[in-house]
This record gives sequence, C-alpha cells and structure tokens, in this order.
Amino acid sequence: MTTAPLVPARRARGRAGTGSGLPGWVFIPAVLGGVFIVLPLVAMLVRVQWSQFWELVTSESSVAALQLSLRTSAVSTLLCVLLGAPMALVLARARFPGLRLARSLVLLPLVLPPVVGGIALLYTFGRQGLLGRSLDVLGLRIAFSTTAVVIAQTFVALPFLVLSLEGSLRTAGRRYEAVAATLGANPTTVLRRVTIPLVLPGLLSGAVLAFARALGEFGATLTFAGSLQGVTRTLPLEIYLQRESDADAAVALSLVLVVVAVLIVLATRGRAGEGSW
Amino acid sequence: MSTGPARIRGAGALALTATVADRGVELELRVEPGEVVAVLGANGAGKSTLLSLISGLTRPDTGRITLDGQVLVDRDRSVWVPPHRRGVVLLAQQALLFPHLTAVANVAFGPRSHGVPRRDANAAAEHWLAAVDATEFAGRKPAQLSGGQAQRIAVARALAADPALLLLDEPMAALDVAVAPALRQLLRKVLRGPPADTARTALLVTHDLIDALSLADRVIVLESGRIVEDGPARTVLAHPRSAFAARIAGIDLLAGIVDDHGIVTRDGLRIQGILDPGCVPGQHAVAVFSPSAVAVHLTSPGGSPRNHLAVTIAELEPRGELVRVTSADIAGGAGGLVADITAAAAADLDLVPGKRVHYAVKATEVTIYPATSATNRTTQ
Repeated sequence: MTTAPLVPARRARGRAGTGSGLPGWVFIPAVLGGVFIVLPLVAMLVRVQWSQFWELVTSESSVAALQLSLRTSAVSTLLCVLLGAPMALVLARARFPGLRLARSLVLLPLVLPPVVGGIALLYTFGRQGLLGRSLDVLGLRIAFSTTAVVIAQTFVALPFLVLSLEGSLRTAGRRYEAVAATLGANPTTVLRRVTIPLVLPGLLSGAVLAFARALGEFGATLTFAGSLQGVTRTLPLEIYLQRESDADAAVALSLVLVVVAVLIVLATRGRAGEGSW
Repeated sequence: MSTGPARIRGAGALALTATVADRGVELELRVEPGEVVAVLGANGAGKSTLLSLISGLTRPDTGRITLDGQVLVDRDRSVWVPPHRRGVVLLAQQALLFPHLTAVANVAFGPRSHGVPRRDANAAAEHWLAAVDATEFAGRKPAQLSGGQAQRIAVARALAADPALLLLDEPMAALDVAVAPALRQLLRKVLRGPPADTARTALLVTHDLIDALSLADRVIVLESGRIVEDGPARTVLAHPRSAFAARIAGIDLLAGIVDDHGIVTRDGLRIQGILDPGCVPGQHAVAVFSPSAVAVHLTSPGGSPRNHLAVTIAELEPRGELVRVTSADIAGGAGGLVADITAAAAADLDLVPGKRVHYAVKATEVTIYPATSATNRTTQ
C-alpha cells in the first residue's frame, strides 16, 4: 500500500530537499542528527583491529556468548509471539473496563529502567521471590539460569511485539472480520484465515523488533541472571566484561552486534516494511 | 450444488421486531420467502441499523428476529445466535474481498467455513464465478481487480455461502456509473432467476429509484428509525406518503390534517385538492402534486381555485428546456418544494436564489390521500 507513494519520496531525497515543501533550515538539524547516529559507529569501525578480528570473535568465550545470545533471543521472541499476539488481539478488539489501564501496564517494561525490571523479576522468580518460593519447593530454580535470561529478555521485549501488532490490528480494522463472520466463519476461523494473514507484516516486524530488543538486553539480565559463561553471559554482557580487560575484543564483538542489528533493520524494512511502525 | 447447511434454497422468511434506543430505532418488518424488499431512506434513517440487527453486528435493546422459523434473537428469552450461524450474508458498498486471497479462494471462503471439503468448495466457487461471468479472474488477487470486477466476485462470494437471506447495502453506490448497470443486471439475474436456484430472499438498501423498481417486489421507506411506508414499489413511488419517497419519486409533497376541501399544514397553510375517498376530516393526509403543475409568480396572483405558497428560492437548476426551481425547506414539506418552469419564464422573472416568490398550483392538480401519523411527525 505504501510502496507507490514511496517512489517519488525517494527521488525527492536525491535532489536534497527540493520539492519537499520543507523550509531549508530543517535540513541542518536533521543532518546533524543523522551524523550523531552514524559517527559513533564510524569511530568504532576505525578502532577495530582487523588483523586480530577473526581471532577475537572466535575465541571460546565469544562464541559461547554469541550462541547463547542467539538461542535465548530466539526463544524469547517465540514467547513474545505466543503471549504478545493474544495480548495485542485483546487490547485491539475486546472491550472491557480497565482497558486503558491494561494498555498502560503493558507498556511498563518499555519505560522501566531494565535494571529495575531485573530487580522486579528477582523478587518474583528468585528463591525468596513471590513465585520463586513455591517453585523452589518443586525443585525449580530460575534465577541465575539460562531460563532467567529468557525471562528477562521476554519481559523487556514483549511490549515491542504487542505495540506493533496492536497498531496493525487497528489499521486493518474489523470490516473484513465482520464479512468473514457473515459468510459463516466461526471466530477461530476468522482469526486464522482473515485476521492473522491481514496483520502478518505487523506481526513479523513486531517479532523482529522483539528479537532485536532481546539480543541487546543487558541490565535486567545482569541483575536477574548474573554473568556465568555459557549459561547466562550473553553477548552484551561479554562485551561489557571484555571492555575491562581487552578493549580490542570488546570492539570486535560490538561490531558483530552492529552487523546483526543492521541485518535486522534491513530485514524489517525490506520484508515487513509495510507494517505500521 | 448444496454448499451450506441443509435448508430450502431461497425460502428464507424474516420476521423482525426490534428497538435500539440510542439510535432511536423501532422497527417491525416481515419479509416473505423469496421476496426482494428495497429499503429506502435518508442517511441516518436507520437502514444500516436494520441490516446490522439482522446480520448480528448490532444487538437490539428489545425485540425478536426469526429467520426460516429459527429464532436468531429474542431479548425476552436471552436468545442470541452469533453472526456466523445465522445464514445471513451482507454485501456492502465496498466489495471487501479478502486482500490476501485469490478471487476463487474468496468465493470458496463461505463453503470452507461451513466445513465443505476444499475440493467441493473450490468446485462451488467456480460454479458461482461462472454465474457472475468472472471465471477469467479466478486466480487474481483483489488488488488486480477493478471495482466492478471485485463487486461481481463479492456477489459470487455472498451467494456461494448459500444465505437464507441476502442483505445488500447499496451494492452499486461505490461503482462507476458505467459499470453499475451491468451489476444491476447481474443482481437481477441472481435475485430473481431464472434459473430458479438463484432466486432468493433479500433486503436491498438503496438510494436509487431504478434499483427499487427493477430489483424489488416491495419497498419500505425508513424515516427517523421507523418504517413509514411499505408496499409494492410502483404504489409507493406513485403515491408517496413520506417526504423521502416523494423526493426520490420527484413529486412535491405537503403533509397536514384533512379539512373540508383539502389539508391544513402545521403552519396553518391551507392546501386544496382532489380528496381521496379514504380521507377523514381531522385525520393525517398528504397533498402531492407534480413540479410541472407549479407556476411561479413574483406577486400573489390571487384568483380562487388555486393554492398559493410564499417561498424563498434555494436553488435553480437547468434541465434541458426547463429550469427546476427548488424552494427553501417549508414546514410540512418534503424539504424544499420543486417547480419546473420554462427557461424563458425563469429569465423573465429574473429568478435568483434567495428571492421571495409565490408558487401557484391549481387545486385540480393536487391529489390528497391519507397518510400515517408517522409521516407527519417526521416531516415536521
């Protein structure tokens, strides 16, 4: 839907502001902002020791951290979809008292400092926590395990999926669903054959955003899961740790995360770019 | 080819009584099996509410709706059948084809939802695509179809779901003037047959006189959430009792109370005419006359068997040799009153919007017949 108007917009960009309808001075802070985003990345690239790069990123601890990050982020993303999609559906379609409050609460992990989220999770799932005590009786210890990493990542990433999908659901509207119902489709069939296919781009971009947020998660993970190599030490934690002892390794690993982030942005913009965000 | 739950095709008979307080709607309606009823009315008169009550998208505050003897809604007994189990299909202004499905998959959607196996559902879809002359578009996505093509496929999709009752909400309104006649012809074929297997019960909401005359057995007119007229299409349009029906039939109408030789409107204006034998003094009635029977004067012409109406001109519109003069709204009238005069007369009188003029209508040109009180209430 958005592809047609995008084409002239791209052409206009090539001619540096002519025909944009914007006053010329707007471009000065806009370009400054762009430089502000790109410059630190360039600075890091300049600092990379290319001769040792491969050696640094393939060290045992680096590979362990990268694998752990990818694995936990994948599981977190799956959990975000399984929990977040129904949440988005309820927020976008259902009507009940307290809906506005529910929507604000869902956004809480987004605005909460991650370290505060980590502490909150610790007092929920930790050994002395609200649920942790009962789980401990059952022999389940969650804090400072890989499970804790997944929980921390899911906690902070969930709002991204819910927001993205809820936006898509609102944009799609209910008209097609009403038509499907009058054609004889029961609510589950409507959801499966009409609603989900219509909002698939929004669901995909939400999932990619959630994955990116999970991959970069640091504060809540450190607080709630600790930093045990191969168990809870994800790539951001490894980078932070390496920075103390071996700055070159930290830079090399950072570059790996940058590459992953760029790939994610390209994937969302390219494939699910029709989504609402 | 049976594609839905077992029922006699086209035999849907609807009985509805419903009120929706916050939309000011209070309706009572019966539709016989196989009957096509046109629903006319101004915007906000309650047409959409009527359709959404039947299709199950709106809950009435009180009332009961039955279709084919099956109770769909009964507020007294807390019966509520959800939309997908009603056998009522809605065809709207927009085709609303599912954008992610091909045309044939769209048409097969209804049968598939009723649990028909994929192969049979596709066969049914192809049958209905052929019935609307759209076989060639089977593999296309909605984005690759024109508005008229999409609406034809929407008709096929609606029929493939084998509805007991088909609801059509201005299906031609969003179409190009050039393609609307073709769709009207198609609807006529699928609603009225032959073949007989396509004739079915339907409610058709429309703004269009031609739709009402060519597709419907019967016309109902809604005003302010009530049914104010109900009868065969030709009768309602030839003898309108409501402002809306008069307007679409192109007839001038004034409502009032019957006295000796005519009616008296709410503002005390006396209109004389030929009284229908059914008129009872003191009862509600309407006076109707043709716009071509109206003469326009700058000063009151006097002289008896004429009716005189002082009006303000709201609009002038050339119509070939004639000029149509529309007055500002007057009490008891169907909006403005319309006069058709020659272009020469309009020029001589130097008519412009805002000018005060006198309409004169011979009493012999005015027909007065009984009307319901609802008509008077809503036109005041």
